[in-house]
Amino acid sequence: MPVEFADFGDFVQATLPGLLRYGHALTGNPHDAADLVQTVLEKIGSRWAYVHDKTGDPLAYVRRSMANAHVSRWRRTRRENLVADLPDTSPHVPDDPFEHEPLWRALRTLPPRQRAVMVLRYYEGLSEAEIAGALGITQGTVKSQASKAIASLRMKLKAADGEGEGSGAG
Amino acid sequence: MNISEDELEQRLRALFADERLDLPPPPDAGTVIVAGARRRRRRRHTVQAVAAVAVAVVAVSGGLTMIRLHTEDGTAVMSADGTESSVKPPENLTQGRPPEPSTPGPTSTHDIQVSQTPGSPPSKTPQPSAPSPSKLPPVVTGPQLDVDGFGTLKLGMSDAQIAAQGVTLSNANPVAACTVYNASGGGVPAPATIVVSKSAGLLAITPEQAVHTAEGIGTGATKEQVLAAYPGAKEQPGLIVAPAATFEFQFSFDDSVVAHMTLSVVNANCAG
Repeated sequence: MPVEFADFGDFVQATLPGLLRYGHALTGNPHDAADLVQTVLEKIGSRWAYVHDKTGDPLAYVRRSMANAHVSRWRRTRRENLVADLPDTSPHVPDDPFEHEPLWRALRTLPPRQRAVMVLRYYEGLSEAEIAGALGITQGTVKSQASKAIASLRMKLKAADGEGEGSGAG
Repeated sequence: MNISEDELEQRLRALFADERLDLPPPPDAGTVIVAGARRRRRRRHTVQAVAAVAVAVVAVSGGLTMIRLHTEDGTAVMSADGTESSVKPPENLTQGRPPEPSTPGPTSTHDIQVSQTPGSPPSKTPQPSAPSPSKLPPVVTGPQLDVDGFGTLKLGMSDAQIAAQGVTLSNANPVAACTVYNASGGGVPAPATIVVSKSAGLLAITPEQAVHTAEGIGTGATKEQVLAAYPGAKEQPGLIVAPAATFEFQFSFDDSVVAHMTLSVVNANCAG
């Protein structure tokens, strides 16, 4: 088993930067990204031999697990996330480099599954069928979730543009 | 201004390609994660082994339908070489944030007060069924798990008698008329999870690190080695049970090798 954990350690070293970046896209902030990556990697590492041998592509398995874990975690902490709908009262996140990026802020308001669909589609470049497989939902649900997400983002960006023009803040 | 769907898709791709999404890994993040993975695996095996004991004893007792086993997230952490363990809270990659507990189970720790003089240890137990000569090499890892106990822990001891041996009992969890403890301290060769019955004393011991039996079966042994050393052993899903007159060894497997061992009283009863 030391060999197994050494192998897992090498995997972690090689993939951690990319997974943290992916977690950042999924969760919307660095703290939750680090928590998500650590939690998922520890769980998968505890079953590394199985994951390595049975899944064929451990990295893809980790990324799908992160997407699902993020959706599950959000359900448990949805009260906190709902605060993001109220920009004036949302908690300040000092080290978020996208704090003033309208699209980033709009993404934060999406329900977790919609956001996961957006990330899998536009970050990972997965097809609808691949997204359905990754999240364990039907292609029809992927299509409807993506449609709602796009509509919501367009509406939020339009509102943000209106606020910017109205306030002259650009 | 309305943004087109195509433009939105382009902006999404550009956002997700932005280099500012990069997050530098914290120092030693890999070590922390590997240690966390080891901890999760060990905890899973321990709970499975103890749960198997608890299920067995409750099944024997009859009339008891609910078992609750709680575990605290992150207690025993293996050192890098896998030969020592220490007790500390789980580490977290996010600096300045407390670790997030995965289960809301009880987290308090208390020591059993030494209020009685230790009684006599349980009657001598017979040796296990004589191992047949085997051509397979022995697997001798860590301290020895004896047929009657582990270090100063002896089957049949009450929790007070156990504490009197210098063993610290913590994380007490009731299971019917039994209590599941974490046992540590100078009286045991390594931290262990134990099941203590109010009426019959210590029923089961699951060391939390590599151990071996006198028959040369240790953590990392194969199924073939276990069956060769214990001809009367019986296979169960994920488990081999080697019974003797009053006790039995339970070997739980992971990746086709012994991951954990439990010494248990045969026909234990948690009905009180």
